Amino acid sequence: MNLREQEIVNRLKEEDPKAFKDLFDMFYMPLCVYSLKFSDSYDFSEDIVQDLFVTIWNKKIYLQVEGSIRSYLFKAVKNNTLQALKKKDRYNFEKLDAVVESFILEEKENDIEAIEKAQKKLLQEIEALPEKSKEVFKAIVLENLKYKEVALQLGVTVNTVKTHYSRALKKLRKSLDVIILLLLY
Amino acid sequence: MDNKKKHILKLIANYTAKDISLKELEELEDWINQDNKNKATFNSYVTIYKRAKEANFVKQTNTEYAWNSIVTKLNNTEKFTVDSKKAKENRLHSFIKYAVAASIIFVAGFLYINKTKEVKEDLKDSPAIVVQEPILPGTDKAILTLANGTSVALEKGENYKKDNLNSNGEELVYSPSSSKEIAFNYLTVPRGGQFFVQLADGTKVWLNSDSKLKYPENFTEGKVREVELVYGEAYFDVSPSTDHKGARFKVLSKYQDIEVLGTEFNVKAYTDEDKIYTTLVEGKVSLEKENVKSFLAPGQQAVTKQGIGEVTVQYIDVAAEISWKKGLFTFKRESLKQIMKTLSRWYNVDVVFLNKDLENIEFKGVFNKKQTIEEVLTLIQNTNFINQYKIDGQTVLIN
Repeated sequence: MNLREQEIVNRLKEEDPKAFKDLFDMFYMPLCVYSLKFSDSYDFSEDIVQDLFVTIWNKKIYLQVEGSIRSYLFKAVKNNTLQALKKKDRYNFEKLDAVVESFILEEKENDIEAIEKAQKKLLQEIEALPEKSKEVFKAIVLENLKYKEVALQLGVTVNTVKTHYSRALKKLRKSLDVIILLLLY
Repeated sequence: MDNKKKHILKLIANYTAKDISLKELEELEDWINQDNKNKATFNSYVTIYKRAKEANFVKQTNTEYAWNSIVTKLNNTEKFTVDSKKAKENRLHSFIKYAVAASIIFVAGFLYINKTKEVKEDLKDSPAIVVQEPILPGTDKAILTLANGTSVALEKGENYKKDNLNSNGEELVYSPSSSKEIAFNYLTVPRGGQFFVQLADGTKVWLNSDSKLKYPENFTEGKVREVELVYGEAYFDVSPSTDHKGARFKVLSKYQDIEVLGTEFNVKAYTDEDKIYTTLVEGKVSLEKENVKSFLAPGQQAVTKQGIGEVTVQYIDVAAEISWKKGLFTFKRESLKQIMKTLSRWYNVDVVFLNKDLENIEFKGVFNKKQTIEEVLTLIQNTNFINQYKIDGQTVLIN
């Protein structure tokens, strides 16, 4: 376990509220991103992670954690996300979702700098898409809109939306080093 | 061949967009299972999709909101009528102090700058010193209007007792009575207030700020129990029909009627909004508007509009919708205009947007209703979407 984590856990065991904020600062974002790998909704994943923090403080989980708090947190987020997804009326893609999940690596300590660089590049490439493709891609991926909704918004047919969207995916796959995105985190 | 590739790409696109037919899904599965190369191709597209989502999330997420939501949830697990909260509060006191410290420092700084400016201007114009009365969060208070027209102010510390009704100033409870006479009472909750009332049949009603409820002092056994939400927002926990010889319970509001057997639901029908929102927590309700009935399942919200038009029903985040009852404000991607409307009712202030463009910016977050309006506004300000806010008397100016 890394030293900074150990130090936070020690202070938590002394019930230092500031340590709780440090724990939040250190893990909130990475945990949300991890939950997002399984879920598909920002709000949903943020709720999962926030509830976990609430439980940790209210039930003094930090007193019980043996070993690394990092692996405890990531495991808990994974379990809670998958469980909540089961309860939620999830679209029935189980087989394919299993394929996707098999590619999700257990969380490890990451090269944050490299991740930030990759994210920046990805956002740049999205911005560089042709105007219509960009609009469609953003609406579907970033705003979770349905084809029909995007079609209405842009005043085009659903088929046109589909075409723009596949084109955007294809273009991004070409211009990005997918292997790096895959292995990075 | 190229067409086949294009076709598969479309299927993958449909999968990530969650807009795919069962037939397409099967086709895609078969293709993926053909060989590992296909699997890798599929996975690389899904990776693009997921990474784009993540990158955008990291870019747009405000951790300060998230932190505030967590702190708020720690402090608030009880209903607002329960006072066992006090013990809990003490335990967490230092913690919350810490959590809001940053914003308070900021507010203090801001007010200081504001004050010095004001004082300077005052010195120029007149000898009067402007003292800004602090804007306090709302409290438990209401006005009870009896059948004979008398009004009684219900407020903390004021006890009131008459016939079958009893109030400690924080809630109002009607006990069952055998009186045959049907007399209607009104309970009016002003802006900056909230109140709890238990009707003679045992139905519990939580009233939000700026709301008015009309109900009989007692119900006739076996007959439909009818109350009216004249305006505002109320949460009903209806005593089951089985306890009242099958008598159904009806809530009338400006242009819709709700009928239930025994259940929990929330109705929002403000006069300054053109829609009525009915949210079902558990049980079953039917909603009637112009002779058309719709049914709600738990977790669903019906939105009705005045005049002709369909009732729209959709699943929503129920916990967020009814969090006001637990002493929280929960905003899930709401426009600043809507958020300020909600805040204005609770803090009893008027809000003026100096820059109209700001009205449509969307925010999300959870706030404790006990926080001062400055704390809430400061958190919003810290997102850098609004430049500054100013409080002038009972008016909040947003720029």
